[in-house]
Amino acid sequence: MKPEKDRSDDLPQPLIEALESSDRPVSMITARVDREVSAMARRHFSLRRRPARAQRLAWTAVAAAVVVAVFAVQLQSPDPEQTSLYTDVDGSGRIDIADVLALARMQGTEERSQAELDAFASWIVSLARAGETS
Amino acid sequence: MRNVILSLIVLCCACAWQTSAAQHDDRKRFAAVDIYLDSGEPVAAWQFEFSSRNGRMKIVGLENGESKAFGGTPYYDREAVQRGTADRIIVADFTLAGANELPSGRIRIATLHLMLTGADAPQFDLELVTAVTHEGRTIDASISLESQIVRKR
Repeated sequence: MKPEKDRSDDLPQPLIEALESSDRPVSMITARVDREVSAMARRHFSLRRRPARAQRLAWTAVAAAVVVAVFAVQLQSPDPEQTSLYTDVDGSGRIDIADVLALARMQGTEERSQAELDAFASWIVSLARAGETS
Repeated sequence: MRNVILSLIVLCCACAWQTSAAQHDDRKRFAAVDIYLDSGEPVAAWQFEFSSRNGRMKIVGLENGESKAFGGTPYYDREAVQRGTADRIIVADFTLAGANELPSGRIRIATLHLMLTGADAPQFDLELVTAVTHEGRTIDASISLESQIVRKR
């Protein structure tokens, strides 16, 4: 301690005073203080959570509305057989896998996605559909 | 009296044997049926329908054939097969592979796995719905099957 005191004589007086004033014993955090800080933190974060919960509810309501709208649109949509996709594309007089091939080979604006082609092919082999048409 | 008892025992044994034989007839058998398409030209799409004439059959599974151009499992009514209610089936597939990659000749296009009941030999109906070339032209092709009973249970 002594040598440090000696060296500190070279430092400017305001700096020495500032260092000495900061060298105070650390205040003890009692269990009570700890509990109060914890309670304050809990209150703070519970207040912050409220708007998030409300926002989540709002998003849930929006998602539910979208799902209901999709179902409503699907219910009102015409029979798949009447849509332009499931038709006698190659003009053979019947709808079969050759129509899917013809559709798949179409270029440009009429180009179809693999999912659409899979749906068309699955519709062709559906036993329920075949039972209706036969 | 001894003869009567002996006759009764023989009669009981005969009844038991007949009942056992009848139960054996209702036991399930499994069969694999290979479906072959015979085409003189390269095939880009095909479709067939398969059913049982005597009705004691359920389709329980389906495998794709041997052609690399038709790599994946063909299209069929998976729900009906999974429910175990498919006593007939429509199977189809198409490929966008180049004309030089398409198969021709006698090719196995699918293998059906069946569950059979009853003692009668199974009788199947197989119809080629369509087979077309890369350009979509109908091919004069034929379809046939080879079945083999896999095991008894």
